[in-house]
Amino acid sequence: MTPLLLQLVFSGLIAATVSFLLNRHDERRRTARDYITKLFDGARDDVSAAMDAGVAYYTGTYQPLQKGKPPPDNVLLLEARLLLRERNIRAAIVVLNRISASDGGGALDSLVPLERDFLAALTEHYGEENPADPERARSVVLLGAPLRQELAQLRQDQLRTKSLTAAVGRGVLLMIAMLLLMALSFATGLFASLLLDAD
Amino acid sequence: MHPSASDIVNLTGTNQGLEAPSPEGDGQEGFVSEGRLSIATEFSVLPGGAESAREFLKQLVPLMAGNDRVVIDLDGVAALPASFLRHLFHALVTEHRVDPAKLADRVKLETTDPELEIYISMADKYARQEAELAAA
Repeated sequence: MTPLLLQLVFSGLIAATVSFLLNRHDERRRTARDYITKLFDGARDDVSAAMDAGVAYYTGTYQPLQKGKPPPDNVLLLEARLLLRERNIRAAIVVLNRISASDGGGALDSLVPLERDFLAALTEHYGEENPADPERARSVVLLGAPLRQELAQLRQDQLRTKSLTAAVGRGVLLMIAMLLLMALSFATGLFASLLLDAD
Repeated sequence: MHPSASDIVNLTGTNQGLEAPSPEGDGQEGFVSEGRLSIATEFSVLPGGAESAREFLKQLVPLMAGNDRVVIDLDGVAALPASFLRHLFHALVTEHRVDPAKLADRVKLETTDPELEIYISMADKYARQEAELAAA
């Protein structure tokens, strides 16, 4: 085999391997990024749904059950919905914290006081005889909005940091591949000339 | 042996308040006795609001009278409405005369479930609120 052919084969192999690794890395990163973004969006939707449930509960849109008709938004239903939404938010934020930590995004500590205050506003008058009070409904909205905003902000910050890290990582990987290519090219040439000398 | 609920009523009625048992005189100075109460197993998996908190106090208060500190275990609870915690701390201060400054030390919430940790932060907030109200 001529030195030129050897060089071509090795170069092709290295290029294909590096290309495969980079593509696989990119695909994994993209999938993880989209998945985590969806989780953040889901948490924001959960907060939004909880805000709706809280407003419905505290504005007192209670209706009695009517025979032959689907159950209206009576108070028990609203209470159940309130707790369900509350639980969804707790679960979503725990998952976000866990995934963010494992993804190198760090702890989401800034969410704790916002989550606590929102959940408190949501259920602070839960189970009272007459929980209806527009002021309570307003505070649910006023405390829910910053939590949604913080979730969006945190994700944006994570994406910014991540894309910078990814760009640097990709550059380093390409540089290593180039060096490897050069070293192998040199080694192949050397090996080929040794073979020719031996002949 | 823990005092009965009627002892607590008497304590409250004589305006002495729900003091932690004093270690002085029993040769155990520095020892902190601790009682434990699991909401899920000993009360309810899904406590309600103020009324539920009043019911829970019937279990908590005797335990507090017999211990320096009571640890409330949250594990297994599905949800804990803020109204439950708010009324619990408020009633301890106003009806059972627990020193608001020591409230956070005397009643501790614990959980191994990360989902429920937010309630610990919530309880701290209400305990602090009671202390601030009393100070004002």
